[in-house]
Amino acid sequence: MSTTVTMPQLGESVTEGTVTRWFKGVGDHVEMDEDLYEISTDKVDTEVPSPYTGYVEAILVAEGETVPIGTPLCQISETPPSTVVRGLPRDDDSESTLPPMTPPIPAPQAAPVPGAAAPEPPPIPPLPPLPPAPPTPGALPPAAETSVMRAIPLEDVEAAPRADESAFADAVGEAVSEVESIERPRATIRMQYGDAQREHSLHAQPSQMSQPPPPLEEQPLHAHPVEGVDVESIGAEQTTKPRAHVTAEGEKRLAEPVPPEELKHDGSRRGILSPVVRKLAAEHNVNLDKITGTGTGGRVTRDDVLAAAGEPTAPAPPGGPALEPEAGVADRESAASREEPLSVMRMRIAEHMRESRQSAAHVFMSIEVNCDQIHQTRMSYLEAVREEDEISLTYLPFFALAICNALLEWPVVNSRIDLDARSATYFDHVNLGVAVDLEGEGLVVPVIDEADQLTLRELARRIADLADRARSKRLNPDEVQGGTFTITNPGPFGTHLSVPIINYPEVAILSLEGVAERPIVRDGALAVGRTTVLGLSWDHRAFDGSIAARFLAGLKDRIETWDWQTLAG
Amino acid sequence: MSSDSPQVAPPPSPAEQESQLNRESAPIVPTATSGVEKSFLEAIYDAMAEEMEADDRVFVFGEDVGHYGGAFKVTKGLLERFGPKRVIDTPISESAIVGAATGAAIMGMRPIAEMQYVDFITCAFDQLVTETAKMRFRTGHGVPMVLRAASGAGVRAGPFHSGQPEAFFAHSPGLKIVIPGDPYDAKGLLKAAIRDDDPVLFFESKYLYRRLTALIPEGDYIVPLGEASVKREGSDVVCITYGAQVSTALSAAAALESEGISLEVLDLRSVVPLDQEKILESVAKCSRVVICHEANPVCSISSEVAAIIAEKGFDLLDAPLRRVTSPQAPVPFAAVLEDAYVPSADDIVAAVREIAAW
Repeated sequence: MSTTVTMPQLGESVTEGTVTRWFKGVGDHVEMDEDLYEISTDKVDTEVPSPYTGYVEAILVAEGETVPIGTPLCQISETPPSTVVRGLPRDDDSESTLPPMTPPIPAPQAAPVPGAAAPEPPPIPPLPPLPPAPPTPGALPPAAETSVMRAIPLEDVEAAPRADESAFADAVGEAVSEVESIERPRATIRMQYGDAQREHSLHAQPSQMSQPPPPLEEQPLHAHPVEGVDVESIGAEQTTKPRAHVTAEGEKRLAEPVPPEELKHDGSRRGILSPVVRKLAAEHNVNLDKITGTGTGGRVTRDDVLAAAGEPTAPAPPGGPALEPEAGVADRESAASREEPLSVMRMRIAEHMRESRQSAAHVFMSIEVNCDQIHQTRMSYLEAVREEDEISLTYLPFFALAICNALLEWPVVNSRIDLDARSATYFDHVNLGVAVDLEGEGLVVPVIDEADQLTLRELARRIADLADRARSKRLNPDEVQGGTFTITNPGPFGTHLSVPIINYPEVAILSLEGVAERPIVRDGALAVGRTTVLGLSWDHRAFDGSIAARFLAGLKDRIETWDWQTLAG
Repeated sequence: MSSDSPQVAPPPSPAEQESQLNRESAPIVPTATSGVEKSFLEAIYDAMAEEMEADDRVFVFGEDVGHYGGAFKVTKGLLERFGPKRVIDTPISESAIVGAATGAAIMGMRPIAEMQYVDFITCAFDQLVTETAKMRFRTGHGVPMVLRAASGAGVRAGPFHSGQPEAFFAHSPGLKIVIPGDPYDAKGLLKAAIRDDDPVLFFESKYLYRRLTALIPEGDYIVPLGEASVKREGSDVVCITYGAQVSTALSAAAALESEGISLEVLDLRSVVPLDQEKILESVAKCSRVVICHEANPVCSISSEVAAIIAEKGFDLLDAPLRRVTSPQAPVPFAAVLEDAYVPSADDIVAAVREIAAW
C-alpha cells in the first residue's frame, strides 16, 4: 500500500512551492518526522518532515521544480520496492535475507494530480509485474525485469555507490524527468468551496486521497494564481455535521417544525394568525374562519389569505367594519327576528362539523337491508329485556353488534389517517360512538369502549345507559372521546336517507334509518318486508368505494343471515 | 508637519471638481456579463491602483504593504508602480496607522490604511472610535479615509486572525462599514469608499481572496455605499446576508430549489448604513426571513436587521425570523471545530426549511 505526499501549504497566501532538495531517494527508507525534502515558497524556506514511515517508492517532482499546493511530490510505500537499488548494500539491512516479496504495487494512476488536464490525469508509467522469486542478496535481476526505476540504467546504479548522492540524484533526476516529460500543463486550482476544501490538510491522509479533487480547467499560471468557486456545487457534497451553534433545544425545534408550546390543546394551530395574515385579511375583507389553513397544524398562511382574497365572494369578516345596511332592510329584518347568543355546545358542534367537512373527502354510499330477522328476534326478546334490564330493546344494539363485527373484518373503516405523517393507524378493537340527540339542543357522542367484546344484551344495556346519562348531562369526559367509529340513528323519526358528517378524525360514520314495512320482491312476487337503509359517509382519503361497498355488503349479510335468536340470548 | 493648528484642506480647484464629478457619476453596472475574470483579491488591487492613478491624494499604507506586497499579496505591485511616497510600510502599530490616516485625511489626503488582520483593529479602537468616527460631529470636517482589513474565518488561522468585528464599529456613530461578497462588488465598493468623504471600514474576507472570481467590466464603475443588492430572486424565504456567506446562501438556494422552496438572497454589501428599504422590500415579498453571517450573534448586524424588521416590518412577517450565525465563541483553531463554527449551506438550508414550514 502506498501513500502520497503532497505539496503542503505553508502560509495563507502561498499557492505554490519549489522543491529545492530531496533528502531521500527512491528506495530509501524514511521514518515519520525525518526530513524528507526541502521546499522554498515566497513566505518561507524549510525542510519538510515525512508524514509516514516507509520506503520512497517514487519521486514525482524533481529538485528545482515549482508546483502548486497539493501536487503529489512522492509516493511512500509500506513495503520496500524490489528494484535494482535493493541489490546494493544498505545500512539498515540487519537481516540476512530480504523480506518476502509482496504482490506488485500498482502505480497510482487513480490519484489525480491537481495540475492535470481534465478529465484524464496524465498516466505515470505503470509498474511491470515483479519477478516472483526474491532475488538473493547481491544478485541483480536482469535488466529487462527492473521495476519502477527502469529509467535508471543499471550501469549508473551499479557504478554509483550509495554514498555518492550526486550521481544517485542524477539517476533519480533522469527517471523523474522521464515522468516529467509527460505533458502536465500548469493549471489554476479551482478549489471547492465548503467542506471538501476545508478538509484539505497539509498532509493528506490516504482516506482523503481516495476522494480525488474535482476536475480542473487548463489555464496558464499567471502572477496571481487564481482559485475559483464552483458556486453551484457548494454544499452539494457536504456531509452532515453537528451544527455547533444550535443548542440541544434548538436541535429539537429544528427537528419538529412546530414548537410544542405553540400547539393548541387539540393539536390545531388554526388560531395562530401571523401579523401579515391579520393585515391582509383586514385589507381584503377575508373571513379567516372560512379559510382552510395550509400551514403546519392547519395554520392559515399569508398565501392562504391571498388565495382566498382572489375568490369572487369574500364574505365580510365577523365583527369587522360591516357594510352599512340599507335602512329599510334593517328595520324589516330587526322587526321580524331576534338575536340569541350561541351556546358553547353549538359553537363546538359548528366548529367540529366545519372542520370535518373541510378536512375529510366526504363520500356517501347506501344499501338497503332486510330487517325481518332482527325484527323477529327483537319482538321475541322485548318483554324479557324490559323485565330483566328495565330498558327498551331497540334495533340499535342489533346493528351495533353487526357493525362491530364487520369493522373487525374491514379495519380500514375503523382507522385513522394522518397525511402529514403519511401513515394510517389501525385498531384491534372498536370504540363505538353512538350519537345521542339532546332534545333539539345539540348532540353528543358517548363512546362504548371495546364494543366488539360485548354481547347484544350488554350492548343494549350500555347504549341505554349512555343515552340516559347523556340526556341528563351526567356523562364523564372520558366517555365522549376515543371513538374509532360512530353510528347515528335518526331512524326512530322515520327518516328515509341521511348523509351524515363524519365524526372527525374518524374515517367513516354510519346512519341507520327507519325500519318500516315496505313492499319488497320475494321469489318473483311482491311481498311485504321490514327494510331500512344504511348510509355510510366515509373519508375517501382513507379508502375507496370498493371497500365501502364490501363493508356495507358485509353488514347487510350479517343483518340478514346471522342467527339472531342465539345472539340475543 | 507644522505645529500650528491643523489647516483645513483647500477646496478642490474647478478642474479637480469636474474630474471628481465625472468619476462619481461613473455608470453603475448592476451585473457584469462581459469583462475580464478577476479574483476577489485582484479586484481589490485594481480598485486601489485605478484610484491611485486617477487621484494623487490617494495613497496606501500599512504593515508589509510595500516591499512585501502585503501579507496576502493584495498590494503586490503597487510600490513598484507608484513609489515609496504613495505606498508606505508602517511600523507594527495599528493605533499609529489609524491615527496617521485620520490626520492625513483631515489634511486633505485620501489614505487607504490597512489592518493586516482585522483582529488587530482593536489596538486602534480608541483612535477609530474616539477620533476618526467623531471628527465630523465635532468639527464639521469629515475624514475621507478608508481602512481596509482582512477578516473572516475558514483559513485555519485561529481566534486572533479570523475575526469579523463589524458589530463593534457599527455601534459607533460616524463610521461606514462595507463588506463585499464578490469581486465585482469589492472593486466597486472600494472605489466608492475611497471617493467617500467619510471614514469607511472595508472588511475583505481573506477566505474569498483567491477562491472567488467574477467578470469585471472594463472601465470605471462604482457600487454605491448603503445599497443592498438582490443576488438571487426568490419568493418563499429571503436570506439576508453579506460577505463570504453570500456564496454560501447562493448554494443553499440551489439546494432548496430542488425541494420546491424559492430562496431570495439579499446581499447587504454595506452594513453601515443598512439599506432599510431593500430589506423591507424583500421581507414584504417573501414574509419569511433568515439572516446569516459568520460574525457572533449577540448584538450583531443580524440583531440590527431583526430590530429593523420588527420595528418597521412587523405586519410583513408570516413566520418568526431565524438567524444563522457562528456560535457566541471565538473562532476555533482546530479544523474540525472551525468547519462546524462557520455557517454552512446545510445550516442555512435547515433554517429555511424550518421557516418555510412554520
